Amino acid sequence: MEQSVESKTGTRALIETGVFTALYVVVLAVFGQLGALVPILQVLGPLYIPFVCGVPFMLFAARVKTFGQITIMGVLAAALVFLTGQSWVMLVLAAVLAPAADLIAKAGDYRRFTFTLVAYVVFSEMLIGMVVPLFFLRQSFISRIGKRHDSAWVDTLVNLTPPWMFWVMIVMIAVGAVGGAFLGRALTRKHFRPAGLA
Amino acid sequence: MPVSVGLAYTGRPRTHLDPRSKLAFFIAVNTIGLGAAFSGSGAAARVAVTVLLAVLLAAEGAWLWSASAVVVTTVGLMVYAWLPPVGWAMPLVGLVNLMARFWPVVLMGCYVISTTTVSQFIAALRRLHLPASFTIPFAVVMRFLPTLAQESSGISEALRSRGLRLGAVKPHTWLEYRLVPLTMRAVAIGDELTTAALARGLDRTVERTSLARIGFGPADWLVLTAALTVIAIWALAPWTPIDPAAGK
Repeated sequence: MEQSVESKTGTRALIETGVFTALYVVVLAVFGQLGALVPILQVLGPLYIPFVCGVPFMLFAARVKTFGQITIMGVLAAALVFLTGQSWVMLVLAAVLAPAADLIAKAGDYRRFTFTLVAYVVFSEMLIGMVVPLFFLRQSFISRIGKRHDSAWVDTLVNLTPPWMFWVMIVMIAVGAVGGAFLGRALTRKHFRPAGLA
Repeated sequence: MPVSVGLAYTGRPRTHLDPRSKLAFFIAVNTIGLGAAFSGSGAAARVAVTVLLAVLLAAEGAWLWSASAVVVTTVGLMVYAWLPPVGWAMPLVGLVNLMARFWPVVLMGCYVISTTTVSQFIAALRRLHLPASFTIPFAVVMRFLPTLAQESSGISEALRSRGLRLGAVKPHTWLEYRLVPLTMRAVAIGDELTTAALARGLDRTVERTSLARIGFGPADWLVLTAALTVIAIWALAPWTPIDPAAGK
Protein backbone atom coordinates (compact mmCIF):
# COMPACT_ATOMS: atom_id res chain seq x y z
CA MET A 1 0.00 0.00 0.00
CA GLU A 2 2.80 2.35 0.95
CA GLN A 3 4.54 1.51 -2.30
CA SER A 4 1.43 2.48 -4.25
CA VAL A 5 1.12 5.87 -2.55
CA GLU A 6 4.75 6.62 -3.33
CA SER A 7 4.42 5.69 -6.99
CA LYS A 8 1.26 7.78 -7.16
CA THR A 9 3.07 10.98 -6.12
CA GLY A 10 5.92 10.01 -8.44
CA THR A 11 3.51 9.67 -11.36
CA ARG A 12 1.88 12.97 -10.44
CA ALA A 13 5.28 14.69 -10.50
CA LEU A 14 6.08 13.12 -13.87
CA ILE A 15 2.80 14.27 -15.42
CA GLU A 16 3.30 17.76 -14.04
CA THR A 17 6.80 17.80 -15.51
CA GLY A 18 5.28 16.95 -18.88
CA VAL A 19 2.66 19.70 -18.54
CA PHE A 20 5.24 22.38 -17.77
CA THR A 21 7.62 21.13 -20.45
CA ALA A 22 4.80 21.52 -22.98
CA LEU A 23 4.07 25.01 -21.64
CA TYR A 24 7.75 25.95 -21.85
CA VAL A 25 8.00 24.69 -25.43
CA VAL A 26 4.79 26.45 -26.52
CA VAL A 27 5.94 29.76 -25.03
CA LEU A 28 9.34 29.23 -26.68
CA ALA A 29 7.67 28.54 -30.04
CA VAL A 30 5.00 31.28 -29.91
CA PHE A 31 7.42 34.00 -28.90
CA GLY A 32 10.21 32.57 -31.04
CA GLN A 33 7.94 32.97 -34.06
CA LEU A 34 7.68 36.70 -33.42
CA GLY A 35 11.30 36.84 -34.55
CA ALA A 36 10.26 35.57 -37.97
CA LEU A 37 7.90 38.54 -38.39
CA VAL A 38 9.92 41.40 -36.95
CA PRO A 39 13.60 41.29 -38.00
CA ILE A 40 14.92 43.23 -34.99
CA LEU A 41 13.40 40.62 -32.67
CA GLN A 42 15.50 37.99 -34.45
CA VAL A 43 18.64 39.69 -33.17
CA LEU A 44 17.13 40.26 -29.73
CA GLY A 45 15.88 36.65 -29.49
CA PRO A 46 18.56 35.49 -27.03
CA LEU A 47 17.50 38.34 -24.76
CA TYR A 48 13.73 38.17 -24.74
CA ILE A 49 13.08 34.44 -25.22
CA PRO A 50 14.60 33.43 -21.83
CA PHE A 51 12.86 36.49 -20.38
CA VAL A 52 9.40 35.27 -21.43
CA CYS A 53 10.14 31.61 -20.69
CA GLY A 54 10.97 32.63 -17.13
CA VAL A 55 7.24 32.62 -16.34
CA PRO A 56 6.59 28.89 -16.86
CA PHE A 57 9.98 27.97 -15.42
CA MET A 58 9.66 29.93 -12.18
CA LEU A 59 6.16 28.64 -11.51
CA PHE A 60 7.38 25.11 -12.24
CA ALA A 61 10.35 25.57 -9.90
CA ALA A 62 7.97 26.72 -7.18
CA ARG A 63 5.94 23.52 -7.60
CA VAL A 64 8.83 21.05 -7.95
CA LYS A 65 8.81 18.39 -5.29
CA THR A 66 11.55 15.98 -6.27
CA PHE A 67 15.02 16.10 -7.71
CA GLY A 68 15.06 15.20 -11.39
CA GLN A 69 12.01 17.13 -12.54
CA ILE A 70 14.04 20.08 -13.87
CA THR A 71 16.47 17.64 -15.50
CA ILE A 72 13.65 15.84 -17.31
CA MET A 73 12.11 19.16 -18.36
CA GLY A 74 15.36 20.39 -19.88
CA VAL A 75 16.23 17.20 -21.75
CA LEU A 76 12.67 16.73 -23.00
CA ALA A 77 12.30 20.35 -24.15
CA ALA A 78 15.60 20.07 -26.03
CA ALA A 79 14.49 16.76 -27.55
CA LEU A 80 11.29 18.41 -28.83
CA VAL A 81 13.20 21.35 -30.24
CA PHE A 82 15.45 18.79 -31.93
CA LEU A 83 12.38 17.06 -33.41
CA THR A 84 11.20 20.31 -34.98
CA GLY A 85 14.38 20.53 -37.01
CA GLN A 86 17.02 22.19 -34.88
CA SER A 87 20.50 20.81 -34.39
CA TRP A 88 21.43 18.17 -31.81
CA VAL A 89 23.80 20.58 -30.06
CA MET A 90 21.02 21.85 -27.81
CA LEU A 91 20.24 18.28 -26.75
CA VAL A 92 23.85 17.70 -25.70
CA LEU A 93 23.93 21.01 -23.82
CA ALA A 94 20.65 20.18 -22.07
CA ALA A 95 22.02 16.82 -20.92
CA VAL A 96 24.72 18.73 -19.02
CA LEU A 97 23.07 22.03 -18.08
CA ALA A 98 19.65 20.76 -16.96
CA PRO A 99 21.05 18.43 -14.24
CA ALA A 100 23.37 21.24 -13.16
CA ALA A 101 20.40 23.63 -12.87
CA ASP A 102 18.53 20.94 -10.97
CA LEU A 103 21.39 20.56 -8.47
CA ILE A 104 21.62 24.33 -7.94
CA ALA A 105 17.88 24.66 -7.35
CA LYS A 106 18.00 21.68 -5.01
CA ALA A 107 20.82 23.34 -3.03
CA GLY A 108 18.29 26.10 -2.29
CA ASP A 109 15.64 23.51 -1.42
CA TYR A 110 13.62 24.69 -4.46
CA ARG A 111 12.54 27.56 -2.23
CA ARG A 112 15.24 30.20 -2.12
CA PHE A 113 14.94 32.69 -4.97
CA THR A 114 18.69 33.30 -5.44
CA PHE A 115 19.32 29.61 -6.10
CA THR A 116 16.37 29.27 -8.43
CA LEU A 117 17.52 32.36 -10.33
CA VAL A 118 21.04 30.96 -10.86
CA ALA A 119 19.49 27.61 -11.81
CA TYR A 120 17.32 29.31 -14.43
CA VAL A 121 20.31 31.17 -15.91
CA VAL A 122 22.21 27.86 -16.23
CA PHE A 123 19.10 26.15 -17.64
CA SER A 124 18.56 28.87 -20.24
CA GLU A 125 22.09 28.68 -21.60
CA MET A 126 21.11 25.51 -23.45
CA LEU A 127 19.24 27.78 -25.88
CA ILE A 128 22.63 28.79 -27.30
CA GLY A 129 22.63 25.33 -28.91
CA MET A 130 20.16 26.63 -31.47
CA VAL A 131 22.68 29.08 -32.94
CA VAL A 132 25.84 26.98 -32.51
CA PRO A 133 25.55 25.31 -35.95
CA LEU A 134 24.93 28.66 -37.61
CA PHE A 135 28.20 30.00 -36.28
CA PHE A 136 29.98 26.70 -36.71
CA LEU A 137 28.81 26.32 -40.30
CA ARG A 138 29.82 29.86 -41.10
CA GLN A 139 33.25 29.37 -39.60
CA SER A 140 33.93 26.32 -41.75
CA PHE A 141 32.32 28.15 -44.65
CA ILE A 142 34.69 31.08 -44.24
CA SER A 143 37.85 28.96 -43.91
CA ARG A 144 36.84 26.86 -46.91
CA ILE A 145 35.89 29.77 -49.09
CA GLY A 146 38.81 31.95 -48.05
CA LYS A 147 41.04 29.86 -50.32
CA ARG A 148 39.36 30.99 -53.49
CA HIS A 149 38.02 34.46 -52.84
CA ASP A 150 39.82 37.72 -52.33
CA SER A 151 40.34 38.82 -48.76
CA ALA A 152 38.07 41.88 -49.11
CA TRP A 153 35.08 39.63 -49.75
CA VAL A 154 35.94 37.39 -46.82
CA ASP A 155 36.33 40.47 -44.63
CA THR A 156 32.83 41.64 -45.52
CA LEU A 157 31.40 38.27 -44.55
CA VAL A 158 33.35 38.17 -41.30
CA ASN A 159 32.19 41.68 -40.47
CA LEU A 160 28.57 40.67 -41.04
CA THR A 161 28.79 37.75 -38.61
CA PRO A 162 31.61 38.39 -36.17
CA PRO A 163 32.52 35.39 -33.98
CA TRP A 164 32.26 37.52 -30.84
CA MET A 165 28.53 37.79 -31.53
CA PHE A 166 28.33 34.22 -30.22
CA TRP A 167 29.71 35.28 -26.84
CA VAL A 168 27.46 38.32 -26.82
CA MET A 169 24.52 35.98 -27.31
CA ILE A 170 25.58 33.88 -24.31
CA VAL A 171 25.63 37.03 -22.18
CA MET A 172 22.30 38.14 -23.65
CA ILE A 173 20.73 34.82 -22.63
CA ALA A 174 22.06 35.22 -19.09
CA VAL A 175 20.72 38.78 -18.82
CA GLY A 176 17.36 37.74 -20.29
CA ALA A 177 17.18 34.80 -17.89
CA VAL A 178 17.80 37.02 -14.85
CA GLY A 179 15.00 39.30 -16.04
CA GLY A 180 12.81 36.28 -16.72
CA ALA A 181 13.35 34.96 -13.20
CA PHE A 182 12.20 38.28 -11.73
CA LEU A 183 9.24 38.41 -14.14
CA GLY A 184 8.32 34.86 -13.19
CA ARG A 185 8.51 35.66 -9.48
CA ALA A 186 6.44 38.81 -9.91
CA LEU A 187 3.68 37.02 -11.82
CA THR A 188 3.76 34.10 -9.40
CA ARG A 189 3.22 36.49 -6.48
CA LYS A 190 0.58 38.54 -8.29
CA HIS A 191 -1.48 35.82 -9.96
CA PHE A 192 -0.46 32.24 -9.38
CA ARG A 193 -0.07 32.22 -5.59
CA PRO A 194 -3.46 33.91 -4.96
CA ALA A 195 -4.99 31.36 -7.34
CA GLY A 196 -3.41 28.56 -5.31
CA LEU A 197 -1.11 27.36 -8.07
CA ALA A 198 2.19 27.87 -6.28
CA MET B 1 9.86 26.42 -35.13
CA PRO B 2 6.62 24.98 -36.47
CA VAL B 3 4.41 23.46 -33.83
CA SER B 4 1.48 22.99 -36.16
CA VAL B 5 2.06 20.28 -38.70
CA GLY B 6 2.42 21.55 -42.24
CA LEU B 7 1.84 18.15 -43.74
CA ALA B 8 -1.85 18.09 -42.94
CA TYR B 9 -2.48 14.50 -42.01
CA THR B 10 -5.98 13.32 -41.36
CA GLY B 11 -6.74 9.68 -40.80
CA ARG B 12 -4.46 6.70 -41.03
CA PRO B 13 -0.94 6.89 -42.41
CA ARG B 14 -0.77 4.85 -45.60
CA THR B 15 2.56 3.28 -44.86
CA HIS B 16 3.64 1.48 -41.72
CA LEU B 17 7.12 2.37 -40.62
CA ASP B 18 8.30 1.64 -37.12
CA PRO B 19 8.83 4.84 -35.08
CA ARG B 20 12.38 3.70 -34.38
CA SER B 21 13.34 3.59 -38.05
CA LYS B 22 11.64 6.95 -38.59
CA LEU B 23 13.73 8.36 -35.76
CA ALA B 24 16.92 6.86 -37.23
CA PHE B 25 16.18 8.40 -40.62
CA PHE B 26 15.27 11.67 -38.94
CA ILE B 27 18.73 11.75 -37.36
CA ALA B 28 20.25 11.01 -40.79
CA VAL B 29 18.31 13.86 -42.41
CA ASN B 30 19.26 16.18 -39.56
CA THR B 31 22.97 15.31 -39.68
CA ILE B 32 23.26 15.42 -43.48
CA GLY B 33 20.86 18.32 -44.03
CA LEU B 34 22.47 20.67 -41.54
CA GLY B 35 26.05 19.46 -41.63
CA ALA B 36 27.04 17.92 -44.98
CA ALA B 37 28.87 19.83 -47.70
CA PHE B 38 27.41 20.54 -51.12
CA SER B 39 30.21 18.76 -52.98
CA GLY B 40 31.93 15.37 -52.90
CA SER B 41 30.57 12.81 -50.44
CA GLY B 42 28.36 15.49 -48.85
CA ALA B 43 26.54 16.02 -52.12
CA ALA B 44 26.12 12.27 -52.61
CA ALA B 45 24.70 11.94 -49.09
CA ARG B 46 22.32 14.84 -49.79
CA VAL B 47 21.03 13.19 -52.95
CA ALA B 48 20.53 9.84 -51.19
CA VAL B 49 18.70 11.39 -48.23
CA THR B 50 16.51 13.55 -50.46
CA VAL B 51 15.46 10.64 -52.70
CA LEU B 52 14.44 8.50 -49.72
CA LEU B 53 12.63 11.43 -48.08
CA ALA B 54 10.78 12.16 -51.32
CA VAL B 55 9.74 8.50 -51.60
CA LEU B 56 8.44 8.47 -48.00
CA LEU B 57 6.44 11.66 -48.55
CA ALA B 58 5.09 10.45 -51.88
CA ALA B 59 4.01 7.18 -50.25
CA GLU B 60 1.83 9.27 -47.93
CA GLY B 61 0.32 11.03 -50.93
CA ALA B 62 2.04 14.32 -50.08
CA TRP B 63 3.16 14.91 -53.66
CA LEU B 64 3.76 18.63 -53.33
CA TRP B 65 5.96 18.23 -50.27
CA SER B 66 7.75 15.34 -51.91
CA ALA B 67 8.49 17.46 -54.98
CA SER B 68 9.62 20.38 -52.83
CA ALA B 69 12.33 18.22 -51.22
CA VAL B 70 13.70 17.25 -54.62
CA VAL B 71 13.55 20.81 -55.96
CA VAL B 72 15.23 22.39 -52.95
CA THR B 73 18.15 19.94 -52.93
CA THR B 74 18.58 20.08 -56.73
CA VAL B 75 18.61 23.87 -56.74
CA GLY B 76 20.95 23.90 -53.74
CA LEU B 77 23.49 21.62 -55.43
CA MET B 78 23.23 23.42 -58.78
CA VAL B 79 23.67 26.86 -57.26
CA TYR B 80 26.65 25.67 -55.26
CA ALA B 81 28.30 24.15 -58.34
CA TRP B 82 27.74 26.98 -60.83
CA LEU B 83 27.20 30.21 -58.98
CA PRO B 84 30.20 31.55 -57.05
CA PRO B 85 29.06 33.63 -54.05
CA VAL B 86 30.42 36.97 -55.22
CA GLY B 87 28.81 40.34 -55.85
CA TRP B 88 25.11 40.33 -56.61
CA ALA B 89 24.81 36.55 -56.24
CA MET B 90 25.98 36.52 -52.61
CA PRO B 91 22.61 36.96 -50.83
CA LEU B 92 20.95 34.56 -53.27
CA VAL B 93 23.57 31.86 -52.71
CA GLY B 94 23.27 32.32 -48.96
CA LEU B 95 19.49 32.01 -49.05
CA VAL B 96 19.53 28.91 -51.28
CA ASN B 97 22.17 27.34 -49.06
CA LEU B 98 20.08 27.95 -45.95
CA MET B 99 16.90 26.57 -47.58
CA ALA B 100 18.70 23.48 -48.85
CA ARG B 101 20.04 22.82 -45.35
CA PHE B 102 16.89 23.37 -43.32
CA TRP B 103 13.93 22.46 -45.55
CA PRO B 104 14.53 18.66 -45.65
CA VAL B 105 14.82 18.63 -41.85
CA VAL B 106 11.54 20.53 -41.47
CA LEU B 107 9.82 18.15 -43.92
CA MET B 108 11.12 15.09 -42.06
CA GLY B 109 10.00 16.53 -38.73
CA CYS B 110 6.49 17.06 -40.10
CA TYR B 111 6.54 13.54 -41.53
CA VAL B 112 7.50 11.94 -38.21
CA ILE B 113 4.95 13.90 -36.19
CA SER B 114 2.04 13.50 -38.60
CA THR B 115 2.47 9.76 -39.24
CA THR B 116 3.11 8.61 -35.68
CA THR B 117 0.49 8.34 -32.96
CA VAL B 118 1.40 9.01 -29.35
CA SER B 119 0.87 5.37 -28.36
CA GLN B 120 3.19 4.23 -31.14
CA PHE B 121 5.84 6.66 -29.95
CA ILE B 122 5.51 5.45 -26.38
CA ALA B 123 5.55 1.78 -27.34
CA ALA B 124 8.68 2.36 -29.42
CA LEU B 125 10.44 4.34 -26.68
CA ARG B 126 9.61 1.60 -24.20
CA ARG B 127 11.08 -1.02 -26.54
CA LEU B 128 14.22 1.10 -26.57
CA HIS B 129 14.22 0.56 -22.78
CA LEU B 130 13.79 4.22 -21.88
CA PRO B 131 12.65 4.60 -18.25
CA ALA B 132 9.14 5.63 -17.24
CA SER B 133 10.51 8.90 -15.86
CA PHE B 134 11.13 9.83 -19.48
CA THR B 135 8.24 8.15 -21.34
CA ILE B 136 5.45 9.50 -19.09
CA PRO B 137 6.40 13.19 -19.41
CA PHE B 138 7.02 12.61 -23.12
CA ALA B 139 3.53 11.17 -23.58
CA VAL B 140 2.04 14.08 -21.65
CA VAL B 141 3.89 16.60 -23.81
CA MET B 142 2.78 14.97 -27.06
CA ARG B 143 -0.81 14.83 -25.84
CA PHE B 144 -0.58 18.39 -24.51
CA LEU B 145 1.12 20.38 -27.25
CA PRO B 146 -1.87 20.57 -29.64
CA THR B 147 -4.20 21.48 -26.76
CA LEU B 148 -1.92 24.24 -25.56
CA ALA B 149 -1.37 25.61 -29.07
CA GLN B 150 -5.17 25.75 -29.39
CA GLU B 151 -5.52 27.53 -26.03
CA SER B 152 -2.78 29.95 -27.02
CA SER B 153 -4.48 30.94 -30.29
CA GLY B 154 -7.80 31.21 -28.42
CA ILE B 155 -6.28 33.66 -25.94
CA SER B 156 -4.70 35.55 -28.81
CA GLU B 157 -8.11 35.84 -30.52
CA ALA B 158 -9.82 36.97 -27.33
CA LEU B 159 -7.21 39.70 -26.90
CA ARG B 160 -7.59 40.81 -30.51
CA SER B 161 -11.38 41.02 -30.27
CA ARG B 162 -10.95 43.37 -27.31
CA GLY B 163 -8.45 45.50 -29.21
CA LEU B 164 -5.61 44.60 -26.87
CA ARG B 165 -2.87 44.55 -29.49
CA LEU B 166 0.81 44.80 -28.76
CA GLY B 167 0.78 48.43 -29.87
CA ALA B 168 -2.39 49.36 -27.96
CA VAL B 169 -1.24 48.23 -24.52
CA LYS B 170 2.21 48.36 -22.97
CA PRO B 171 4.44 45.36 -23.81
CA HIS B 172 4.60 44.06 -20.25
CA THR B 173 0.81 44.28 -19.88
CA TRP B 174 0.35 42.44 -23.15
CA LEU B 175 2.83 39.79 -22.00
CA GLU B 176 0.90 39.37 -18.77
CA TYR B 177 -2.41 39.05 -20.63
CA ARG B 178 -0.90 36.41 -22.92
CA LEU B 179 1.04 34.32 -20.41
CA VAL B 180 -1.07 34.26 -17.25
CA PRO B 181 -4.26 32.74 -18.75
CA LEU B 182 -2.18 30.24 -20.74
CA THR B 183 -0.35 29.09 -17.62
CA MET B 184 -3.57 28.86 -15.61
CA ARG B 185 -5.20 26.78 -18.34
CA ALA B 186 -2.14 24.53 -18.56
CA VAL B 187 -2.21 23.78 -14.85
CA ALA B 188 -5.98 23.20 -14.86
CA ILE B 189 -5.88 20.83 -17.83
CA GLY B 190 -2.84 19.17 -16.30
CA ASP B 191 -4.76 18.38 -13.13
CA GLU B 192 -7.57 16.81 -15.12
CA LEU B 193 -5.06 14.83 -17.13
CA THR B 194 -3.41 13.55 -13.93
CA THR B 195 -6.72 12.35 -12.54
CA ALA B 196 -7.61 10.66 -15.82
CA ALA B 197 -4.21 9.00 -16.08
CA LEU B 198 -4.26 7.73 -12.49
CA ALA B 199 -7.77 6.40 -13.01
CA ARG B 200 -6.41 4.38 -15.92
CA GLY B 201 -3.64 3.01 -13.75
CA LEU B 202 -0.61 4.91 -15.02
CA ASP B 203 0.97 4.60 -11.57
CA ARG B 204 0.98 0.79 -11.64
CA THR B 205 4.43 -0.74 -11.72
CA VAL B 206 3.52 -3.82 -13.76
CA GLU B 207 4.68 -3.92 -17.37
CA ARG B 208 2.19 -2.15 -19.58
CA THR B 209 0.79 -3.53 -22.77
CA SER B 210 -0.05 -1.50 -25.83
CA LEU B 211 -2.44 -1.88 -28.74
CA ALA B 212 -0.18 0.26 -30.92
CA ARG B 213 1.13 -1.78 -33.79
CA ILE B 214 4.88 -1.45 -34.01
CA GLY B 215 7.54 -3.79 -35.31
CA PHE B 216 10.09 -4.06 -38.07
CA GLY B 217 9.05 -4.95 -41.60
CA PRO B 218 11.06 -5.03 -44.84
CA ALA B 219 10.54 -1.28 -45.35
CA ASP B 220 11.97 -0.62 -41.90
CA TRP B 221 15.16 -2.54 -42.59
CA LEU B 222 15.49 -0.64 -45.86
CA VAL B 223 15.07 2.78 -44.21
CA LEU B 224 17.28 1.85 -41.26
CA THR B 225 20.06 0.49 -43.47
CA ALA B 226 19.83 3.53 -45.74
CA ALA B 227 20.04 5.93 -42.78
CA LEU B 228 23.08 4.20 -41.27
CA THR B 229 24.82 3.77 -44.64
CA VAL B 230 24.39 7.40 -45.59
CA ILE B 231 25.76 8.64 -42.27
CA ALA B 232 28.66 6.16 -42.42
CA ILE B 233 29.59 7.08 -45.99
CA TRP B 234 29.44 10.78 -45.24
CA ALA B 235 31.42 10.48 -42.00
CA LEU B 236 34.03 7.91 -43.01
CA ALA B 237 34.77 8.72 -46.65
CA PRO B 238 35.49 12.42 -47.04
CA TRP B 239 36.19 12.65 -50.75
CA THR B 240 38.21 15.60 -51.84
CA PRO B 241 35.57 18.07 -52.97
CA ILE B 242 35.82 18.99 -56.62
CA ASP B 243 36.29 22.72 -56.41
CA PRO B 244 34.00 24.31 -58.98
CA ALA B 245 35.87 27.60 -58.93
CA ALA B 246 39.36 26.09 -59.24
CA GLY B 247 39.51 26.41 -62.99
CA LYS B 248 38.21 29.95 -63.12
